[in-house]
Amino acid sequence: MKKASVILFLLLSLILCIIFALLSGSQHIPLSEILFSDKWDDIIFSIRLPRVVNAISVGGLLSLAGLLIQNLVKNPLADPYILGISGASASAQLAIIAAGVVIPFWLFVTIGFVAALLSLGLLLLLSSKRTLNTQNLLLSGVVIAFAYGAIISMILTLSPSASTKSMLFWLMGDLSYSSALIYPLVILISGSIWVYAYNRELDLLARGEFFALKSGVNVQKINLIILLSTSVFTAVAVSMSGTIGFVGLVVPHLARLLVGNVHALLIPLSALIGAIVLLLADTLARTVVAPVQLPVGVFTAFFGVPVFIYLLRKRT
Amino acid sequence: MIEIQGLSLKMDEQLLLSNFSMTIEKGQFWAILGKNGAGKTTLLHTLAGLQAYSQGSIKIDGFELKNLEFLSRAQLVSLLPQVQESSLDCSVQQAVSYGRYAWHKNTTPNLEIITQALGDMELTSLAKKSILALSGGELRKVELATILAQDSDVMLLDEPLNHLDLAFRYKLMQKLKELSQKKAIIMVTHDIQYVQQYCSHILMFCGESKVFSGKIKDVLTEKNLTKMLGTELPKSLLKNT
Repeated sequence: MKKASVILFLLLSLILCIIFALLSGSQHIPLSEILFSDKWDDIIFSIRLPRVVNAISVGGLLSLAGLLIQNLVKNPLADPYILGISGASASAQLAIIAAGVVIPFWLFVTIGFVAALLSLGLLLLLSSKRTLNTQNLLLSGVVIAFAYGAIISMILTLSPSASTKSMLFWLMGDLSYSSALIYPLVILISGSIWVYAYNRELDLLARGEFFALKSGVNVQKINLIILLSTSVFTAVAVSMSGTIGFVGLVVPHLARLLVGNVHALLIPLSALIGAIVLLLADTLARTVVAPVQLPVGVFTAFFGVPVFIYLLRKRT
Repeated sequence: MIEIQGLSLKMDEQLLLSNFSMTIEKGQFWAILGKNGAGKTTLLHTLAGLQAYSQGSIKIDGFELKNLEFLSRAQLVSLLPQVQESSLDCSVQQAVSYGRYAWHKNTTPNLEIITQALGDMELTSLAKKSILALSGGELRKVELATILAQDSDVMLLDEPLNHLDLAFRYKLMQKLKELSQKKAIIMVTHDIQYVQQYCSHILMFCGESKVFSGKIKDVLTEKNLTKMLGTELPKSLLKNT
């Protein structure tokens, strides 16, 4: 009962945050005016709503990815970017920005997504011999991520200074390109349902891989499912909005603090909290010094660092 | 219950067992003895279906072990590993309830069996505690309770007495002996006194893939112990019966 009320409370908070996000911005819109006139419909429906939808989707996806990857590598400090999947996406997209090529946003997203999946293939090739070993996977992933870090630094150094600012923005995470693409929301909802089907197996895996195996879980299969889902969630989020930090690291811990290691609850909770956190952070990012927009990653870090330090201290 | 036929086991290039056959029935309580690295854990993991065997056959309840589905295998065989790997946080009661996975993959686990297992391992007062806050011995009890909850016909235990206090060791051996009326129990241990007092059968690894096995009174002798250890002990460990 208590747990159902946590979910209900979060749902209500999400709705309130959505209303807040739709009304605020460089042009503040009073609530009464949306209800009784259509004067603001343009701003609300074609500018703010897509951005709200994307913040919700990206926040939910990153949090789910973080929840899964922490379970996969049995490390509470892991985040969705640890395997280098985001680095691939960022490298490809920054290269496009640096080259100054103008392409439609959907193509830009697609290129980032494909780069991420290619990188996943490379990772699997490097780290596994017939079977998936999560320790090898983690080590290979971290090494690959370093390589992308080097590529990104090189692109940043070599590119003309005019484009450097937008590249840094993209690296910190940026939702301002949000267009009417709603497929991230579709992936978030269908992805949550898909991983929810394995919630019991995820509970046992958190207790240890060998433990799960001896208790009757097909560990190889579940690990592969986790890895693929995490990669797709991360690739969708990162290709849409750059590498927004801290959400995928901190939100799963918040959810665990609330309900413990019960994935039947952790999955919906992580998605909901992630959505709320990123929506709030993005609303702040575009209103605090409006009309100037700040990268949303700055706000998730502002929020994430103290919360994470608090969590670490609480653990010890 | 368990029929092993022509089994060969290798660890790296070392042959641990060659063309080995034996039968284990319900109602028997087996001890596996041997020096460090003799192959005790490898045999136990093989019997648990967690390690591949290339030569020979292992049948449990008439089913070839390597052809069993994950869930049916876990319904038939449970294993207490020697060391517990790193784990994310959960409560003691949750950890024990995971033992029921094989029986209740998609349903709520039977609370009665879990409560019983917690009680048997003196964990009732710790049920809500986090497993990360437990002592080594308490964590061992949680693992024991988990496989009690799994309630399989074959129970494999790798040095179950480790980390436990003396009083609880006796309690555990008593409980295992009681359970062995209806199950086949196999445990790896170095504590000969407990083996002599509680077990019914013994398997001794004597090096170079030589193995002695049979009833305690026939096999657990001074002569065989010396052979197994490769050295004479200053004082006999066996109680005269």
